[in-house]
Amino acid sequence: MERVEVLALTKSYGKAKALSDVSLTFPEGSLTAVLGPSGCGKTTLMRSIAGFIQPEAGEIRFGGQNVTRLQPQERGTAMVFQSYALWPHMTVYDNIAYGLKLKRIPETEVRRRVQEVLELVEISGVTGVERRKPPELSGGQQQRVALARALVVQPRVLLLDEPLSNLDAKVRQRLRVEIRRLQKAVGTTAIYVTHDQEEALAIADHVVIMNKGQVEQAGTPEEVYRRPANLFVADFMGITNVLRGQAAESLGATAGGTAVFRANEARILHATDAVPPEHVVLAGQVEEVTYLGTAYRHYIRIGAELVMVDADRAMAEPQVRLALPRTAIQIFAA
Amino acid sequence: MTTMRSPLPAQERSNPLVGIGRMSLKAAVAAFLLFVVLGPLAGLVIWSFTITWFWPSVLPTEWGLKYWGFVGNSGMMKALTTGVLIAVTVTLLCLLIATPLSYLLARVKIPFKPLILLLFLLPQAFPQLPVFANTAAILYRFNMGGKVSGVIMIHLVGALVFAVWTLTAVFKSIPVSLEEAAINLGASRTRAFLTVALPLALPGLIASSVLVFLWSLDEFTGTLLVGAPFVQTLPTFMYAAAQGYELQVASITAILLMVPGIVMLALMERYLKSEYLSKFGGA
Repeated sequence: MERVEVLALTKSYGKAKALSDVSLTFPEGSLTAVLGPSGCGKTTLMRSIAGFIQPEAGEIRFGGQNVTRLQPQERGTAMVFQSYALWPHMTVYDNIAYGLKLKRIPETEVRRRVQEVLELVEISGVTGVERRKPPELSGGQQQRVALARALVVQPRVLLLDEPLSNLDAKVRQRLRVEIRRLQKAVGTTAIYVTHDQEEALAIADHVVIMNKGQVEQAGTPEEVYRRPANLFVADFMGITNVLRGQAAESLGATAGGTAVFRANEARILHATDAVPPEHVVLAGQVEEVTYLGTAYRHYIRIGAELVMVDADRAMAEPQVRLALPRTAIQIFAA
Repeated sequence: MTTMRSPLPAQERSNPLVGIGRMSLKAAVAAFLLFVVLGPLAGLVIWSFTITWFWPSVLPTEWGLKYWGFVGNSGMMKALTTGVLIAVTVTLLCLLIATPLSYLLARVKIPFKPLILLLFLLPQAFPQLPVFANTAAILYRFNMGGKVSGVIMIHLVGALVFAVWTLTAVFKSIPVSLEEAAINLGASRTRAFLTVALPLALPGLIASSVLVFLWSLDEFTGTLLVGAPFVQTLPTFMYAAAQGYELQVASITAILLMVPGIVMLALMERYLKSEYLSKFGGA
């Protein structure tokens, strides 16, 4: 249970800056998702915290202690790898007990704690699981063992590096709830790297969005989803409709600025409908309608931009009006 | 229309002549392969049991175990033990040098890495004879000529090439994250190597050792240049024997030389899972 602080961290590979002046605080006992496209620096950030990468400048602190110059062995972090990184030549028991044996914990204590953690990750029901070797287990089971191996040493900081990206969608959804439950149960400060925005929002107390080695926004899932700080975050949070130029200015953007909104927040008005209060109206032309199952998605041209709007039924007339709640519109300066 | 649509193999199957033709072709291929593989071996075996065999008789005129008797009392036994001693020493030294070196080559970003690997390939890239002749000259200068130590040294020149190249591939095939996971949990680099990388590389290490051992046991050029006439291993012994037109002794030596290879391959097949072997080959 320690707060993790990163201060002005900088790391470059040749000319490319993987981290440029990144400062962040990961509150104690919280789970923070670090989100971004590949190459945004999120993995470099995590590996710097683990001690596998030595930053050129900046400082890393665990609970006030400066750990920047400590070797990875001395940091007391536990990492869950994307590839699980379980040792295929050892049994599940030996995999999990490895960290404990390094700490010279007596054999009986090791046995008890391995049993405990196997129950915690809900894999103790698999018959003879301790004596099996990782390649004999399914992907989901392997990830549970990897979690157990990390949790059993009671780490100061739990690091999760895209732990679910090698699993299929169903298992992924189950396991992310599990990871959340486990992290709350043990109360360790956890940092969770992912490129999946839905996963990040579902699992985290805080979300950090990174791009090109810099932090674009940090906040609660609600904040980054509802109030993206800039166009990059908006785009990453799945806001697909971007208006520029005159259409944007008519919604209050300054010259060169943009106005964005979500596909499900606009309403298509019928010819006879009145404009609801606190809404603005945009005129456009329907170019295409596709059926998504939950709704009909209309591709509507407004000026030079094509926007997507979902409706319960397909609109027959080509000329339509869109009603947008004022609160649903985000304006970004150029 | 229907006859045109019926697939060709069915037509062939219905024709008994095609079936017989195919079978005889298969039999001919099998017979040819057997001849190619077993023919020379059969010659060796026949020669080893020959006492007299003069042209133009098809088979020896006098059979017997006379020459097998030489195995015990001639220099052959001594050559065999010397050869095995050298091969074992070469294998151990080679493992001792090649394991850490190939691990470093596989893991650490060393400048000029391709150059180092190329350096190890060089002795194989040039014709063996000049390379070994030069090395022999150097070894004689260091007073290692005609000694077991000299033969070991010249064997290492070739053995290290095999070992470093194969073991570098073996270590490269082990994901770095496996060792990082150990280090992350508090293991030192050495401990991570000993508990994670080394056990995972073990099948590759064994396969590579077998290769080196057999290669050393069979090595001729270097052994002759450095060792002869004081140090004799089976290949140089056979050479000397064949020069005296004692084809029987040469055949028996050749058969003895094949035994370790067959035993080792059988053991590898028995104790190393095929997946390990394929990894060794494909890494």
